Amino acid sequence: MDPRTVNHLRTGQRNRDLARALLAQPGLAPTPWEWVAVVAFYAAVHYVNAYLWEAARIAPVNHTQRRARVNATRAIRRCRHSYDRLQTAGYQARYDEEFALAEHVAGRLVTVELRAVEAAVMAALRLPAPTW
Amino acid sequence: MDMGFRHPGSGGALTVRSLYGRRESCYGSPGREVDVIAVAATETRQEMGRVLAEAIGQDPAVNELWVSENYDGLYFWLVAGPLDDEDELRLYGLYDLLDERFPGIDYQLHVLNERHYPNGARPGVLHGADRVPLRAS
Repeated sequence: MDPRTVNHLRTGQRNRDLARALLAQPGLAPTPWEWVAVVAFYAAVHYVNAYLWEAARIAPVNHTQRRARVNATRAIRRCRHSYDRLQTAGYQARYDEEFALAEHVAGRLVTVELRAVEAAVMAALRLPAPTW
Repeated sequence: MDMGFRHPGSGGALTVRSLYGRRESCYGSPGREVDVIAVAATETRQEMGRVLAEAIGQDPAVNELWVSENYDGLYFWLVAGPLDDEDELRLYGLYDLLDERFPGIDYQLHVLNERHYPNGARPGVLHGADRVPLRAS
């Protein structure tokens, strides 16, 4: 596996673990749920980048291009709507001061949507499925 | 921004890359380049908005549709809800329709779920966006 692919996977896993760690911290003030969305989205970005690099040596230059690749790539296309959801939540969390996520919604972004992206990428790379 | 202008020779085809990624070919003088791009981009934006609005149709879950431009393409904003998870994911299925009808166009679709906006989701729409009529009121 190319070193750049490995680095993307490592960063994706690190971001995923950070998101999970935030979810596991009871009573944090202020609440970190919007940042969970941001971190989870960037975990997904690195997972997708890992696959695109390993499979085709593609390095998307922006989010629109990356999302289009997710949709157009048969091996990971099944996770596209999970990716879409993470992308919007991550965008709104970064830029919209009115956006407010409930804890359980932030949790779902990680445990359902991010897991779906990670699982799709790991399967496409013929790596073990996530067990967390 | 790479506009992709190419002048293969006098009187030859002028290839332009529209703001949204679609490649257009036309004939004309270099002085019309900007007009060509503007027309192509506006037509794409309007047509995608129309297709999206038609697909949304009478869906009571969607309250408003807006479109704006960013450095990386068109952004469509669906103000909807409040939606549960299933309905929110269903709306992301509209990506499939646009991807099929407009291959190669750079765009994003954002579902702004009222559930996550205590004061209403409209402020989540990018400033300067244009509203696309959804249905006759």
